[in-house]
Amino acid sequence: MDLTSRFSRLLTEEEFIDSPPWSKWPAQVIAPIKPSQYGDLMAGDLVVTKHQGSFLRPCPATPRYNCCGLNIFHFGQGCDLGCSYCILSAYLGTEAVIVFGNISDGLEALKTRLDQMKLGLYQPLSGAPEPSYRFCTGEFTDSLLLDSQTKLSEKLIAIFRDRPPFILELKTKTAEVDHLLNLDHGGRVVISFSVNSLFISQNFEPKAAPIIDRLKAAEKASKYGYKIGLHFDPIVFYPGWERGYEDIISQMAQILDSKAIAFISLGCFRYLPALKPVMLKTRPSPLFNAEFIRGGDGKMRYPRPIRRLMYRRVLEFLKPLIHPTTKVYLCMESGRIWQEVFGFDPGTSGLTSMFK
Amino acid sequence: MSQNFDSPLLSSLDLSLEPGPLKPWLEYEGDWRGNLFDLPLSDLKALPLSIGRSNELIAESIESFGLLYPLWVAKSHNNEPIVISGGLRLSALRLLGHKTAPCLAPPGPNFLTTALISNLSRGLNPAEMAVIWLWAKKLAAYNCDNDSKNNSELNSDLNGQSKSALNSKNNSELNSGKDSEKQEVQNLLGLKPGDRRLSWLEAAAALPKEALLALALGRLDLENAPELMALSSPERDIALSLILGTKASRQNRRQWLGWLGDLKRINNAPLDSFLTKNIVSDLTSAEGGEKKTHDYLQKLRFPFVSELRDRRQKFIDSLNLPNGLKLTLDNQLEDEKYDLYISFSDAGDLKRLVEAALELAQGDNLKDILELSHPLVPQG
Repeated sequence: MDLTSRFSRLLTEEEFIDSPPWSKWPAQVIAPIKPSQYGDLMAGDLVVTKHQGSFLRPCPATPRYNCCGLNIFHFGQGCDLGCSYCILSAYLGTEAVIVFGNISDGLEALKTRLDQMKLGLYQPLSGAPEPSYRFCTGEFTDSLLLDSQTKLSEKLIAIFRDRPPFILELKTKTAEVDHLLNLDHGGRVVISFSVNSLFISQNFEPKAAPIIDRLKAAEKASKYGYKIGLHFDPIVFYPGWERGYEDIISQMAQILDSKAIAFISLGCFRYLPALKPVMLKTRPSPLFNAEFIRGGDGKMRYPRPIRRLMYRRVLEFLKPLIHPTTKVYLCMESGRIWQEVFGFDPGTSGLTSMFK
Repeated sequence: MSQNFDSPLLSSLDLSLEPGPLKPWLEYEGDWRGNLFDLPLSDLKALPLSIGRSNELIAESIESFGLLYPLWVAKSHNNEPIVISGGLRLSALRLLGHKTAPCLAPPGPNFLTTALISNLSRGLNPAEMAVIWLWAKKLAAYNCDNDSKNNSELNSDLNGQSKSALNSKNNSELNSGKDSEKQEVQNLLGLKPGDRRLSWLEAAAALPKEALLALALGRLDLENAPELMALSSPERDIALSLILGTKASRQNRRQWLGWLGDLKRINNAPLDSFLTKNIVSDLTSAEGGEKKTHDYLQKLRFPFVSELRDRRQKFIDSLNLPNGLKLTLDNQLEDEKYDLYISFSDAGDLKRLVEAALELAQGDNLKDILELSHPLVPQG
């Protein structure tokens, strides 16, 4: 991948100008910038900056809804795939992609955290849920967006390979897995793909890899021993949704071996009301033309009966893909919905312990 | 060049409706505030605002969930029922073999604006824009003709003075704002006065339906659209440039695409402001107007949630809880908790209410409330 064809500007703080891989491309040197200045960046900008905060974060869980206790390795933020439903650019205030140049500091912090957790020395902040053993890089950006160039996953995989029981999850909407295939991952890595119906994918994920390519990439990775994750998020209520999800899941069942699927998550479309106008301004879409209620966390969601119906139906379709070892869970859903869909409510602590 | 149009799209495209003034569904004046009534599909015609759009997906949805949003209807000047919003749903209902459809009758007079706004969020293709512009223009012209006709009737027919005066009053009310509606449509389409795209739209609106379909789909079968070739330049060139995207007309094409992009961007929001301006003001002046307005808007925008809330409230009412005991549900339907309020004045009162509360807890009523769901959503 040539970054100059993908991005209109590469902006690098001076201390990273000669660091690989950024030294391969002509870059404009910029003064150190703060997160409050990200809004000044433009779509098409790739920015290499020094991260001043923590590289490890808990999932930005949402009150009153069950969280899986995911840990996030924060290596950058922003994404240029342009999905209509994504809150990233609205939330961050820019469509630029920001990568942290001082990632080696982050990797050291990660090693320390894993070792602390293994020895039982790590205490989460008061009130924070007990963290799970799952670490993911794709919460504020796409894990594999630039990975074939940055080779960050290669370093992460080397860390997790030797540190059971922890699991690394690389979450993506790309099909860029070739550079990972021959790495020694020790069975500790899940490559997970954000998936959706063909209709949603084709209409609202303009620059993501076609859904079939993602599935083929998943199948390829599974042949090299990687476990696979599937995130049906956001599940969208649109005319014909039932057929749409049934069709794509039936294709998945033909392509993927259920034994390779480590987990499947489901989450219906939801958004922060304050971000709606910002999202509509940048990416107008009819996704918001539906009935929403304000959930207990302040986010707008489909009414509970609709969510319940959708989860139940999608779960039915998913049966052929669910191996006895596959963990299936709802992302940020209420205990009541858990009860109605699965017949039990694990609560946040129960859900987190699924990943231990 | 040969191009086979999708025949269902062509056969379902009905352009026989002559542009003319639209009237409110007066017979239902008392019912229009959110109440539904059924009309036979065979009587309905729709504004041609669904050009080149397949009804299959929406038919699938209707088959699964029923019709979630009623059709909005008004009357033509010949008193025919006209669907101003829901043309595609109407066509899907016909495809499914339905005989009637639930309808809502919004108040006038700006039906075109209503129709336009209700379709803006999904985006309009150039053919649909052309058709609605043609309607707006004809309505404005009709307004002028009709006013002069009424004036002359009024002056010459002294014996029928009261009748003519009444007609004149009605027509004046009916047509009030048609010019401003044309302006409103023009604004909503993002057109400025003297905009060169106006002439293009007018030329496009005059095309035969095969060419309109070509315009909607962004492809052209020249053999099927000789009328387009007979147009004078530059309208023909602009139309061709849009459909074919020819190199020579790239600039025009860019302008169009930019325009369409702008429209999508600006038109996701106006429904609220439109409703506020045209419907809310009317309602709020009536007795209990604010509550009615709220309910009306809720039902229009959130038919599913409104229906569900109403049914749950009716269920609670049917429990006939004693005075002093009040059960409230989560209004957002998340149903994580319910609140039970006890208001009492003495110990005897409290005892009685607690007993009633325990009775409520022991019966199946609470379970019934939890399970109550909307009939349109099948229970999986």
